[in-house]
Amino acid sequence: MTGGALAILRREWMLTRHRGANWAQPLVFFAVVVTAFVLGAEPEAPWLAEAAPAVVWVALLLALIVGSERAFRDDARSGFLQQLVRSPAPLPLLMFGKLVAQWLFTALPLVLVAPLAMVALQMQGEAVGALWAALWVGSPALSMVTGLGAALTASLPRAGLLLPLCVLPLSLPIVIFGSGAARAAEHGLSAAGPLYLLASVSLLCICGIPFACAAAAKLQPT
Amino acid sequence: MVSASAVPPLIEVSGLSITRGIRPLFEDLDLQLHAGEIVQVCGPNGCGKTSLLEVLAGLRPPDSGALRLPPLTASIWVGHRHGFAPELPAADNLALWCALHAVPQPDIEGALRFWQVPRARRRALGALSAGQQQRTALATTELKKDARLWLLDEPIAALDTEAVQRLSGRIQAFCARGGAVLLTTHQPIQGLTPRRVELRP
Amino acid sequence: MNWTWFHKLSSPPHFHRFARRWTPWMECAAAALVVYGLIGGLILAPPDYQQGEVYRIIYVHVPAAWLSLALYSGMAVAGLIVLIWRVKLAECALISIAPVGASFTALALATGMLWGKPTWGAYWVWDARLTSELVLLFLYLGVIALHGAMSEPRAAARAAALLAVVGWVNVPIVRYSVDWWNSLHQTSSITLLGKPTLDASMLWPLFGMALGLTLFSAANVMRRMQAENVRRNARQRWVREQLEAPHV
Repeated sequence: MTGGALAILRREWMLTRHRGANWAQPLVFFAVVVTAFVLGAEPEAPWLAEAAPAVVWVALLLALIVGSERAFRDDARSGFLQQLVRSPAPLPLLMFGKLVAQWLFTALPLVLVAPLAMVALQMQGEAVGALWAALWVGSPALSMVTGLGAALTASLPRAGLLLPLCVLPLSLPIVIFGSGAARAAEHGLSAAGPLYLLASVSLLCICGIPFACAAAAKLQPT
Repeated sequence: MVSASAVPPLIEVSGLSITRGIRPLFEDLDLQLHAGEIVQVCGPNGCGKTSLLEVLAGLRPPDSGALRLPPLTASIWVGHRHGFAPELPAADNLALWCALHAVPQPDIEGALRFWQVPRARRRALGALSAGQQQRTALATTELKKDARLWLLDEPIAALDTEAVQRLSGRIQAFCARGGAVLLTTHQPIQGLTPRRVELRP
Repeated sequence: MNWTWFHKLSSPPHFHRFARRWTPWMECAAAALVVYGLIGGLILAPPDYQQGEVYRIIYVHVPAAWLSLALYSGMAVAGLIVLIWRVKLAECALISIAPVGASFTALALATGMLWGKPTWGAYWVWDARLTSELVLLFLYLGVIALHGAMSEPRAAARAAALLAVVGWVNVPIVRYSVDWWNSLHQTSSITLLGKPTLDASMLWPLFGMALGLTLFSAANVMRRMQAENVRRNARQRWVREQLEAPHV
């Protein structure tokens, strides 16, 4: 039963390899957003470290939105989604494979380089650890939510502004808890509470969003 | 010869209507497809042939009407868009197709050889011609041996004469084995005498 | 329980006749209640001992805020019906509710800001309620935009339904997260209905306004649904018969 989902994972891996340096585009985008924010503020501003968690989360959110836009677009165009609908394997499971691939190949590199951005934003030890933990726990949820937005808008010719509009309200709790964990750690409080909340949001997304994505995949106009 | 009504038909459609937007494509279609039969859906462009095949392939719900279809696993659907990734070679695409459609131990190499698709390991499908891509899609009919129904949407639009003959031979052999084929085409396929179903708006 | 009336109502021609008969009555009742509420609230009710005259904005603000949530729930329920049973009339309901709900959400935000200026000293304070209301507005706009972007009406309605239902699950989470965020932030906030009781002379007009505006939005949704229903079935015979028939 899981064969189909694993096959999709392998396909996405092969496609990522074939597309060469394209996988790095969200990384560059992430770096550009963080840099633009710092340049917009005064140099050495004392509140830079205070704002850093929010900046990192928002940059991650934007990079994921930009990176996910293509994820379902090409599949809707090529008719791959229709093949998935016709597969005897459960469609939510196949969509889960697709979403996991998206997290692995788009979100994971961002999470891995995020500590560099945190240090560049002058965050201190405790907060860096808390924020990084929050990124690990929260990025699956963020990846799932942007994936759902991408699946909903896959067939549209211009999803440009629509995708963020669909995704943004859904991703706010993740951003709030995610940067809340870092701010709690900064103030010397325990970051465990927001991390648990973030984990529960992630679990909810992992359980629910593959089903929503499956319903969205069936909507593709033919 | 057994009378057709003795065995239940593979596909039974009654009172089927499909709309696009608010415009009905066709209304109140009755259709039966028995094992061993070839049916050609005819009609001008835009009359709903592709939509009909998509309903029969389980890809879109009908707007009204009763359907009795074989399970999705018993049919093969070859549409206009094949669902292949143009970046990957034909063999990899077919391997993925087999994994998705739960085909055990497929002979991909043999199917590609039969349909004369270039089998170079590193040659991406997108670099092949439209006819060769269509042959790759038709190769799926060689892979899934237990299918009872082929739904072919304009299968010969991009094929050369030799490939059309090949397809004609495969369809005849499939129907002789008890399969049923429903296809749309604007040119007659040499060697086939399908039953014609007209779609009228 | 007998569900026949429900099935009958969800048939497009029957709904058309039903809506055509009852919508005007709902509008009359709504107008009467709103007039009572406005006179009672803006003229007859005494000024508040703490906030003075400013508090009178609750007669618009509270019903608008209540409707923004109620209409969203209504939209999500219609969305569930669309996703599970594919009822065509629920598709009409979903996309008819969205603009009405978005308008009331915007109204709640605007009146909240007007009330905030004299009370908090600023038009916009990142108060938990206002922030959640803003997110709700985004959710409405997302549903409207997604529906507007797709050309096939049934697919568009299903996509909008999906977003509405996922958003509905999200509303309590947003609410909780914003509350949590706010408590971390320590803003002093006076809640609008923080006082334990309102005097009856203030309360009854408020109920009148709430009921009146609810009836108004129900009637408005019915009229929109009627139009959408006719548009979708434009080729059906009953539409021609209804439109050509003399007015009843």
